[in-house]
Amino acid sequence: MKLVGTTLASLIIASMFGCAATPPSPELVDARTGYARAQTGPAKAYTPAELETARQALEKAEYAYKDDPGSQKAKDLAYIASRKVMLAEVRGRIAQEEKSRTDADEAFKTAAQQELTDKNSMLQNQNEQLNMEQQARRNAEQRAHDALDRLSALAAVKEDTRGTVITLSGSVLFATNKSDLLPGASERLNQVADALKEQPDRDVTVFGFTDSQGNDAYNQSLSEKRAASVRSYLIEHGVSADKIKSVGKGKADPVADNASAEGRANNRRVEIVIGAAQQQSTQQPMK
Amino acid sequence: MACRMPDLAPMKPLSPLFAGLFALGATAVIGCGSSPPPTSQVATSSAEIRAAKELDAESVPSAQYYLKLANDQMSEAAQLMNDGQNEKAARVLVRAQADAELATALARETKTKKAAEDTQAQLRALRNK
Repeated sequence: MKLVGTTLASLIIASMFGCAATPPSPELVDARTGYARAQTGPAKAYTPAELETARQALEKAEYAYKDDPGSQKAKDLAYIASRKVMLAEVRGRIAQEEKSRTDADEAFKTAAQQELTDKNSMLQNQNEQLNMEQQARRNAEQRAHDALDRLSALAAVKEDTRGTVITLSGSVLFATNKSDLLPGASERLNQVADALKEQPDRDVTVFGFTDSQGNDAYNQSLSEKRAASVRSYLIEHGVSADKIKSVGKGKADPVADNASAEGRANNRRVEIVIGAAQQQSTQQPMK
Repeated sequence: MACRMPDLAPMKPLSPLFAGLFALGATAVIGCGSSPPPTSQVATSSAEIRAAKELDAESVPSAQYYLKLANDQMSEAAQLMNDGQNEKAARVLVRAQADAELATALARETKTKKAAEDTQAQLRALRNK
């Protein structure tokens, strides 16, 4: 009975001590673990001042707890400390995010600037190339023009709907009823070849014409052979074969009256027609 | 407010009437507790809550809880002041301020994070062009 009494008494005393040793409030526990965590988080590097504020708040809370664990003051200070600790952590993360945003922004600006520079230099290159091409085209046109100018001293050169027409008199090129070129033809035809070579993109047609005298079939054949002779000569002198063709027109399309000798002489002729420029593009075709 | 200290007369030699009034006033002050209402703390805490709301803390999940705590404690403090428990009200108001500050920071964190992500997405988009 006595033993039971002492045991009971000691239990009561033990329980009383247990009560006296008030456990820390959840807020104080939060503040302690939070502070330990914050020390290894971004707040350490980014917002050390906030972390220090939190540490001071926690210190105050610890003192108040030691002083009087169950007091309202201890609870309040623990509450404040837990919030200050979280605040330090959040502000550390904010600073970190802001840093990463600034970095990304910098990288963005650098990359955008680089892109702009690349684009500019690409545009500049394109422009230069374009200018060079334009200049080259202008030069070629000038040369072609000059060549035709020189030619016009030796042959009739005119423009009509078919393009540029060079007319050469038949008597200068061929003996009567022959389709072989006379030696004297070469000077004129060389000039023609030069002019044609300056415009390699144009299609050229050589037309042969006769007067109206004699047999039509014969005239047709003769005009074809003469046109072909001129074509061959021009090809031999550098004009691209696939750009030039020959056509015999016989007595068709007279330019003068066949009743007179002079008119007939004018009708016996070869016309070299330089077609209009083809749509030329130096750029890659669009797809 | 019922607990405000009555204005005291200029310091002249006290007449019996004034002495009586003074005694009454003193009694009133003691009745209200020993401290004046924590008006400046009310202002500070309210301002912090406004700041949190301006950052849209109400719609930020991480901030909502702390904003609610702050609001609840503001109401609690108002009730306590009504009941003349100014000292206790002041303590609750300090807690409310701490909660509101945290809510503000959490709301800002969300915005900052969003901005950082947007900028990084922009950067990625530019680089993948």
